[in-house]
Amino acid sequence: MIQADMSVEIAGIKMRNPVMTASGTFGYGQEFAGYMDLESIGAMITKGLSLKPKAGNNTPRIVETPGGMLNAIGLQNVGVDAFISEKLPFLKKINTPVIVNLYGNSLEEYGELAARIDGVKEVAGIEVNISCPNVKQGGIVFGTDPAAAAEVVALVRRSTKKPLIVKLSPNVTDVVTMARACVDAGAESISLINTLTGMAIDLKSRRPVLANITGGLSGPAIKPVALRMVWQVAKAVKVPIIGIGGIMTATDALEFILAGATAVQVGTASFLNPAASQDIARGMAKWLSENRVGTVRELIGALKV
Amino acid sequence: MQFQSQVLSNNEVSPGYFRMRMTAPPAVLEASAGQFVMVKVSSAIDPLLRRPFGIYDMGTFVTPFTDCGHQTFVEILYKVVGRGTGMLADLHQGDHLDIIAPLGKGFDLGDDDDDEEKKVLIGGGVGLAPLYLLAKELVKGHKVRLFAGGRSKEDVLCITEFERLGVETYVATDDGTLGDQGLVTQVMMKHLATGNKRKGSLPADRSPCCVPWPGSPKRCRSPVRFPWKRLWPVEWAPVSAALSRGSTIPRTRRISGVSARTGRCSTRRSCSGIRRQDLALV
Repeated sequence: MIQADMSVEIAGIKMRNPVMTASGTFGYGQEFAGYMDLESIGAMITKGLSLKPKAGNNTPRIVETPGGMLNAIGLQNVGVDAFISEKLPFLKKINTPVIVNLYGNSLEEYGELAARIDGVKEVAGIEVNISCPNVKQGGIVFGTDPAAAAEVVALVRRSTKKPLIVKLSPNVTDVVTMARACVDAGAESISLINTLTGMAIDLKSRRPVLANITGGLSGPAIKPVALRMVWQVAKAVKVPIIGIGGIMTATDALEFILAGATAVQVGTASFLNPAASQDIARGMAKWLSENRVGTVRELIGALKV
Repeated sequence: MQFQSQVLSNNEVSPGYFRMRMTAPPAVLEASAGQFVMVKVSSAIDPLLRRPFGIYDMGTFVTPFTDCGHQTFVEILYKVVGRGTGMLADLHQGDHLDIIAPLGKGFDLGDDDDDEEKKVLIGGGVGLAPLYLLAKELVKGHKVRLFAGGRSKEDVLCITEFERLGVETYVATDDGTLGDQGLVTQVMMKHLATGNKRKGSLPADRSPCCVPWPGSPKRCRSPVRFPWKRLWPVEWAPVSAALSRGSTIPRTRRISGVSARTGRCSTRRSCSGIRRQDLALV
């Protein structure tokens, strides 16, 4: 059987295969070292970073829902300084591109963070988070208004030379408008979708389950929504798309590639199977070989409609 | 580590409570008391997430089959509270499970400088589960006393097993159907006070206990004042969802920092497994 060519390129970041880990589901990489080979995947995206350390929301902040889960972590993270001094030394040793997901509480913070990361040579690229539904500032404020999104993206673009990915929220009227605004402002790649806002209620106590009341829905439950949005955006913009949303198996991942994604991110699946991203990458290679597809790039946007 | 396991037994030890024994690789024996396992109760996507259970017991036994030698096992004690645990209760000998274990940091017992020190364990309902392994360890060098609580006699589990270890056990139930009537913490204070000449003082300045998390007095139905300063609540905050930062306790609220004035707890809440109020898994 011929070994299929799995390599892809996103905004100049060369990856051995299209499987990346979604921000906020893979810690800082080290947590997974005992469960899988970190050099078996295309790229690692670390937990959303802010300028200062952040404790996140009150608990409970995760609840299971049918075929998925709601989370309202509130972007708990160690802050950019601790990331560079404590987390990066480990990631440096792994021969897999590290992409840093970042968010700011204000426009200026996005710029400042991007400038800090710009000087760190171990970081292969930046994913700008304008789509977290669980924090009041940052996140969603910039993620629902095309003009505000464009402003953030343009500022980050001016502040760094690193490859720039922008992660979009599905909680908008028209995701295509958002994608176009970001690409016009300088985004070299679009990743979508972040979580869909939702809530869970405990009938017995008559209270919301999450302390934050609402949270972001992820997991297999959101895959059809994600596939539709990836397909729409891939048709509308010229930059490579990264598909995210309920990818549990190699089949799911390949469906996103057909819909127009160049790469995919595995998120919730890593919570139930820590080696999910590795298994998905291997499963994709196996499928390609079995179906005599020479390169995964042949399948990008190859959906027959 | 992640492994495929086979159910060896799954018995209802009290109405609604099950004790399950599962095969495990020998490396699991390195687990310490207070660590937990994460079980995928079904290979389907619903329920999606794994369920956390404190390790009740572990060990090896000689298999009845020749040439198989010693088989390692882990045991969990769980209460059926929802769909996930309901599906678990339906499993039989020979069924397969996907398990990640051991996880968490286990009980932090601090510097164990005084071997003669008496140890006091406190637990309620299914919260007794992780204390068994701890008692097993502590009885090797200490006199151990257990204060076990529960709503009713059906909720006080595996007392015989503790007694077999040589643990002195005291029982309290809310309705008085077993042992003293009242909250286990009140009963404990009474017993410890009478056993000591100094009024209200405890046998040791620092006695490990495993009690419900006192962080949220609002949720407690019967809060009692708790002598945090004299007792030494062991830190047990397994961070299973460290990956998403899902279940971490803000550092300022870590149990070691609980103030003696505000520390409140209720025996009604279980302290087993990962803090359930955090993950809200049933």
